[in-house]
Amino acid sequence: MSGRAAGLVLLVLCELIAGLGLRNEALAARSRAEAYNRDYVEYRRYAGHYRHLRYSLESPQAVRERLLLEILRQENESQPEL
Amino acid sequence: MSRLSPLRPFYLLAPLGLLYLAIAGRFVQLHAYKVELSETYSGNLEGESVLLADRGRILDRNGYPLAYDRPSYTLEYGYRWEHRRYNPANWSEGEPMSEEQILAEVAEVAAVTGIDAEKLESDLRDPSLLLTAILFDIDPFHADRIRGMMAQYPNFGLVVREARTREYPLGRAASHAIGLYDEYLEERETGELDESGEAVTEIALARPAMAIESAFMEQLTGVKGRKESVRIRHGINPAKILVEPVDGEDVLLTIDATLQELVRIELVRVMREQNPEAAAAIVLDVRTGEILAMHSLPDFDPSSPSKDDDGLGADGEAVSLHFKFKDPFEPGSTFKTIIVATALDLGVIRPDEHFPDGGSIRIGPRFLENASSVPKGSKTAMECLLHSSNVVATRIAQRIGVPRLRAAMERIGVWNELQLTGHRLSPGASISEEEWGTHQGPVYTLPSVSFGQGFYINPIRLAGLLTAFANDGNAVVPYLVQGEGSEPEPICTPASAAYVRDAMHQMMERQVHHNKFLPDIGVEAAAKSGTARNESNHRENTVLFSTFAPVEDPEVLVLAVVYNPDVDLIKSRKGPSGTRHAGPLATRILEHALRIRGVLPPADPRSLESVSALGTLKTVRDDR
Repeated sequence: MSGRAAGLVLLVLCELIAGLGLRNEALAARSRAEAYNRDYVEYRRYAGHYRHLRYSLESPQAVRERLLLEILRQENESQPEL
Repeated sequence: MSRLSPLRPFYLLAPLGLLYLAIAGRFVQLHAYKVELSETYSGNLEGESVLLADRGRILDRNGYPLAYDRPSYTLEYGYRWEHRRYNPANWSEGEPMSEEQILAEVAEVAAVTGIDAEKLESDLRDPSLLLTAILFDIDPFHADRIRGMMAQYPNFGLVVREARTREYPLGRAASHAIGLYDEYLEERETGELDESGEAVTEIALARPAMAIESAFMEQLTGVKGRKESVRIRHGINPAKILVEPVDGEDVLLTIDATLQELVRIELVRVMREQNPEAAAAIVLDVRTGEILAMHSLPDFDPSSPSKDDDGLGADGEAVSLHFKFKDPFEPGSTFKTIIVATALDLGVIRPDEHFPDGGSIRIGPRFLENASSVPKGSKTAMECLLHSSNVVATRIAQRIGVPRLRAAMERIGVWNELQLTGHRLSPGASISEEEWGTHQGPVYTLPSVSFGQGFYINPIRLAGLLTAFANDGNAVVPYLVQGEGSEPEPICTPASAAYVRDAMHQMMERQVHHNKFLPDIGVEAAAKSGTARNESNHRENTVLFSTFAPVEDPEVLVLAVVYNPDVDLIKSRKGPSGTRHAGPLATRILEHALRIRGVLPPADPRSLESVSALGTLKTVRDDR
């Protein structure tokens, strides 16, 4: 095989490897982005749920109920044991 | 040395070239001919999903949410019977699933989902049960557990679908102010008939909404996203198309969530004590016109507004979707304040001038009388307000005269339509040309107007007008959405406003310290009561009470109205009265508002009223 032919083979091989490699990297990068995006979506769902829990705890009604419970507890404690 | 074939490089390159072409062809196939690909994989591995967007939140003045979306999940039967795990057609001939195996698998999933195992097993083997939801409102943790369990059994036949649930943390307390929103699929008739003559139906998205939820529909509604991806069995596969969802925008109201809740507590107390047809209250910032709280009972649960045959909601409480303050009413004696201020500004009376008051006055063919609690004897305009004398109010109105009184009421804008976003308020009917102009004018219309009867005004408009006496004669325009405020409207001079404010202050002091009808909240307040009484039907009485404080530097004004209280006529022989039946309600609400504003110190932490002393809830506004 002449040097020119060998060079051509080498060139094709390099092209193939580089092409496949770049393609693979592109896919990998998009997959990473997809993975991050899925994590982000999942995080948002959980954040939404935690936010809902926090709002529930902070709602004026919840605060009032906790205060009333605290009043009841204190009143119970102030009663002499039978 | 043999000569090499000239085709030898071709032989060497040909396999590589073929390999290259094959791989390139595969890429083209993967990315250009997705239909063909999906067919290759039985359509199961090509995915398109909708990415849900949150509806915008409705926030109170401190950023506390009055309405927001939370993620939730529904559990549904999958839509493909042909792939279902318990479809015998999917079992390989050598390994049919045994009944024990099926029961064991279903029992595991049933234990996690909480569904009855027998029902689940029979449903999963029913080809007709497709896309039917069996569990609603599943939280993300639970949804993950269900997914994890089902992942062990491919094509189990259940789908966990993401959804959004509209949450109203204040429940009924803010229902009239913010309204409600819901969305669901419903079957509607298209109006066409099919070949057999039956109505054609379609599945459509219904989105019922009210009040703020309806008025800001466009702003609150988010834009759903979309994702298309190729799903191959292993690894993470990138999305081919990804359009991110855009959440709806928030709406900021002037409401204070804590005060709103307390207003409802006080209204409930009045409903229990007096059993009226309805009760309502509004709290205004007298400087800006911001509505800090407004509510009426009966109300509704925004999450479940329907009522049963008894007219009660799922929680056993009365249900009404109608906000009472949308309707105009007779302002009663509260309107005397505007009459006195107008007379002073026109110069037809002097502040220290005395008017005779024998308890009744003859106007044409009829006699007008004071309430029996009004002492006889001449009175100044200030004493007229203090004792709520109809006789003196009529005399003052007569001094003004029909043309000037009519012009003043139009200038003040008693019947101006108030644009309250999300709420269509009825402004009330103005007095007709005939009522003003003919002989009726001085005989009927003028005296009636002087003590606030015979005409109708919207209660929120009235509350706005009454702020003039707390605000140097400038009446604010009430508003509910931040940024919508407008300049106050001058309706009287600062001197007249101060005169009326002094009278209202004396009235409050008298009712608190002398008559002891009202609780002492520890701050100097001003007030005026009113009663619109139907003399022929004692069940039709509207009692109202308006108060603002502190007198030296007013901050908030409260207008409370009780509609047709069920008064014990043995205890209250004079019938319903604004001071006794709406006064305590307004005063307690005023106390809550002043504690929240920091005007009054925090109360004993062991009392219910101390909830307002906690102040408004601290919430970071942009924490989403």
